[in-house]
Amino acid sequence: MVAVVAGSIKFTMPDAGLEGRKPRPDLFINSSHVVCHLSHGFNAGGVPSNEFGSVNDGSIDRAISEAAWRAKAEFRLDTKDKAEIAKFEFGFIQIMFDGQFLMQYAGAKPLLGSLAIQPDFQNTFYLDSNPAHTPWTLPPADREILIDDRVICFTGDHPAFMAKRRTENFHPSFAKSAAIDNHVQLINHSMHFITVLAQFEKATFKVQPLASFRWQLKYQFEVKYVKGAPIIRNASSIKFDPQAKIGDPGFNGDEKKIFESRSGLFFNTVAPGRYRAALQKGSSARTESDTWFLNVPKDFFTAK
Amino acid sequence: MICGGLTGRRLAHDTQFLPVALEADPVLVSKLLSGDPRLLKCAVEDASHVTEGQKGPFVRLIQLALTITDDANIAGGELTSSSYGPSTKAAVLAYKTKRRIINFSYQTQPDAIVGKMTITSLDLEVAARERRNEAMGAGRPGADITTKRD
Repeated sequence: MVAVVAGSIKFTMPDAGLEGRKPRPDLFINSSHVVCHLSHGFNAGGVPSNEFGSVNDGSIDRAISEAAWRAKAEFRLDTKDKAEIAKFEFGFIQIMFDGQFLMQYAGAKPLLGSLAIQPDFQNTFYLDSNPAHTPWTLPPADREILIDDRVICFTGDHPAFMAKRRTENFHPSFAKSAAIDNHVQLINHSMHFITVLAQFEKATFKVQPLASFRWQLKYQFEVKYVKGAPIIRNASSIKFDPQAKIGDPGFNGDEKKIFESRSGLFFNTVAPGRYRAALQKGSSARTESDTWFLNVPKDFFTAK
Repeated sequence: MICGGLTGRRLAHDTQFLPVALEADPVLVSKLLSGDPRLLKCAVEDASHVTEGQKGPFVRLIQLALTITDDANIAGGELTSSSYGPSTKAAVLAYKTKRRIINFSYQTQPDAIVGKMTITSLDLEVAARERRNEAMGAGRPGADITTKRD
């Protein structure tokens, strides 16, 4: 059995500003779309700039070019025997809790109504991996480097969300007309993550946590339009544990189940379809009103 | 509602052809306005013109159409009571003036009455907006999400 040498794990945490950069939540708006992103690794040129058609699966991949933050862990093993070490894999496993999501659009005037999107799939735990390299956050080539008895593991992330800047309000008072434009007014989305450095034994499928850290991301944006131009109020935040926790991660029941089974809903394959469906006309997640919600400010929109 | 036999007809203020029915009497084609029987009458009967002091769902639809087309400022009280008051009158007059909707058989200046020409014009503009938005994917999915790291 290969074991990690006690006390040898050294973390470079995201908040330490690996590569001299820290993620910063921001909202990008062009003439047709909005993107919640973390600045680094965001490519504005990849955001669709016309309103025709749908935002398809993978649309956001052109806007997010790389992870916004990275972390690494370095440790020593109690052997240099390559054959023994090859019986194990090392890397990061990430479990995500997709928390509150609320998105609102509103018309230029109260008469043009407002609409809210609150999906019923909020508060779901996901295995934040990819079926191609489950359960790890990264594929093998990017995940770990082995130098004799020294292992270096990498991870990183860039949670991002894209939606249309404008949608139509189909409240019955508007007689199914597609002429009632509503503009994005509010996006609140909270996500909680636990990122776990783990050792996996191929023969037994046993996975063991070595260290972990938690982090939370809240996208919290309000938008007003002054002479038609968007003005963004950004109350978003991203917080990382200042230090990794060595040993028992202190999982809750859902996290423990996902970690030990190394399976669960994959966020990147399940969530895009869920969010697209939630924003679609007729979705049960959509609440449409023929007037403004009370939280829409009086100065929400002035026309060009 | 008659929906067939569409062709192009140029209204006094139009800069492009917009579809209206071939029938002698104009009908409404927008989803927003065409379902209201009072407005359908307004589009074909002089006696059903909409004027200051009237109230009802049809007034609200006119207020809505004016807001869509001209970003009209209608007073809150007129909106809640669906009544054709001073601000609705001002918005109608501004709309007609901007588009020179005048019955030249007896007028030289526009009035604040929503008659056949006005409701038809409002209807065509709203219908054009509906078509534009439908072509752009109104109501189709509009979101994508990722936690990208590689």
